[in-house]
Amino acid sequence: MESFENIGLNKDRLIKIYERMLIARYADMKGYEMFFRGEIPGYFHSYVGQEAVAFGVIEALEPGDYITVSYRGHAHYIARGGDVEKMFAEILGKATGVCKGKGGSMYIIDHSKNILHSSGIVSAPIPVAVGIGLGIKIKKEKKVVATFFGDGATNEGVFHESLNLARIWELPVIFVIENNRWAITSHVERMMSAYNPSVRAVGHNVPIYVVNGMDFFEVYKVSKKVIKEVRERQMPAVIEALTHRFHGHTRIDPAFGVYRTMEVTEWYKTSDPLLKIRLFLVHMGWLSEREIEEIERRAREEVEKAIEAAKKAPYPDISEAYTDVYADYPVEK
Amino acid sequence: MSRHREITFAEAIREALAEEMRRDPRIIIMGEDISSDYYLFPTTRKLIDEFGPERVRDTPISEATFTGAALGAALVGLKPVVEIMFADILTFAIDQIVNQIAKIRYVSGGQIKSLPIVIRTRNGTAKYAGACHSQSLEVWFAHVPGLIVALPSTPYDAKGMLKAALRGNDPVIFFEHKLLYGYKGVVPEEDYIVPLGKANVVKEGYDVTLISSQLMLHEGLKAAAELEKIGIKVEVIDIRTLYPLDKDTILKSVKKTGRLVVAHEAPKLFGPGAEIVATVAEELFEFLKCPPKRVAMPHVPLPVSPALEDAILPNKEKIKNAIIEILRK
Repeated sequence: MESFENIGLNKDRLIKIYERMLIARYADMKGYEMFFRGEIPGYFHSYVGQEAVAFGVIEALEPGDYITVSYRGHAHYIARGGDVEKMFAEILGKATGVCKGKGGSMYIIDHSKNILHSSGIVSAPIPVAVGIGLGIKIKKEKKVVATFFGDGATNEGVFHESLNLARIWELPVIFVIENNRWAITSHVERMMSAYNPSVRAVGHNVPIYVVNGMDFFEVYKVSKKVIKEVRERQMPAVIEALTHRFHGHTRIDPAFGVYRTMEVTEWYKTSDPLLKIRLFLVHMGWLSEREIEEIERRAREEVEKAIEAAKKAPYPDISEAYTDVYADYPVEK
Repeated sequence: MSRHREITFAEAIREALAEEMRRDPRIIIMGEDISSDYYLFPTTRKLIDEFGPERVRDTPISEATFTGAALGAALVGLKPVVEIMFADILTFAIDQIVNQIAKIRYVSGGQIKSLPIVIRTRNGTAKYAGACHSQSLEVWFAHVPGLIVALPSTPYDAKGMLKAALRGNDPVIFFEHKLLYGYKGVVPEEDYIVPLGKANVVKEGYDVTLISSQLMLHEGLKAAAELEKIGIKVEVIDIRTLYPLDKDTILKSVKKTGRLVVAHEAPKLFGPGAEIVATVAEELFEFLKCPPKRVAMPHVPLPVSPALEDAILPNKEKIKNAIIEILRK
């Protein structure tokens, strides 16, 4: 009989996941606002709408498993138990940031949480994940690596090369395509020979799983199965999660009004992954409306407090500009 | 005491790889066709017999991806050596080298202490190999903070510098010169390293300083030997690494001679010589007896026609003429 227990879900765990997803949601809502107000140095890419993908896959991973992620990696960090204040300090370029303020929004890398690599370059973390898979194989660890990237990244050559290499070397790599259908303002219909990017993996003989990326339960359940197979067989797999990016890619393209209408983004929001979990929690009688509102208030407060603390945190000392370039050699000033 | 032993440059590379792989089980090597007895270059020949296909990995023709995979493998504690058949093909791997490998320590705020990745490749002329198999691209990588750029010129240095690279904690782009592979030199049997970042005064002199590396170093040494017969003492310096650039050794020599010639195979514009001459001009302008000179490639691709390649590549004669010219000033 299919049950929550079979896939490791239960009431307490689901409430905790909902709390973390709320934090990821509010963090990117706030960050997006701050970005528009010019309060964020560099860039900011909102993950709002796509949370079920990061949380669905990451909740199905073991803590010892590895992750590489694209420039849109805030929710992944929160899903891994990341600290919101350290994340915002990083986004704001502060000394207390997870990367000492030297990476910024596109580099929420935390080796203590096995988030080993991210990049502002679309598709770059994909081959890095293949190498992590190679390391797992050579060291004979029973681990897997998941690499998260958008549909746009599947138009880069390294996506195809990585599928091929991971397959011929038999590496435990899970390629997670976050297919929100938009590469900045270009729709997949215009930019891709295949409507679904995952079908490209057919030619590389890598198994494909397509999931509704707006549904945490489905992403989690399928990921659980895929991760188990990848771990046991030490072979790669592709998960394509169909999802919606509620916000613009960055600041210059608005959420709607230019390349898609307001009706379209509003339609996206009817499948809001958080709303789905919220409804479920109430429907099951696991939480009352009052209790849910309390959880939501606490999450909002936690994010606001974290942002205030990050704003107050000091910038790195100027000397930091010259560190972490080489391990064994001095830096030419 | 070891016996006097001469081996080729290519054998020195192969020995360094084999000895370090025995010493450190974390080292793996990856590249196209590297396990084959019929591969064009002998630097990895038979390593697969000793270390097996797990550590000696033939790759598909996917340079960007296996270079990126080297970074991933290094992030989980391996020491990958990547072989890119020709420097010209580094172009495919350049995002992974320039944006990922060179920057990951920095953008992660130093979370990665050790990043031992060695990217071996081959630059320079192979005698008429043409526009896309002959380039000298070392300055591209010396220009990127986070990378070490090695340019060994002798079998002794090739072995010692590769060992230093494999025992270090920084990514190294290791350029081997195709025409030097057959060049023989003394290489001791016992273990040694040649530290990266220290230039070598190959021949002492006091009239003029000649700075070079790889094939042009050997051309320069021939030029210096001929000039010695007419009483001109050239101090010849092998820079060994373009980054770190051993300014101290360069400046000390130019201070003594007051005259500077730089010779390299890369095009003259924005080449290694531009940086070396600028450094000397900034630091020692008052010691210079005359303007420095650069002997280098014109700003053209290398053609296959032997008549054309021979005409445009720098060589012993061009270096000799530059030294004579500078001494006339």
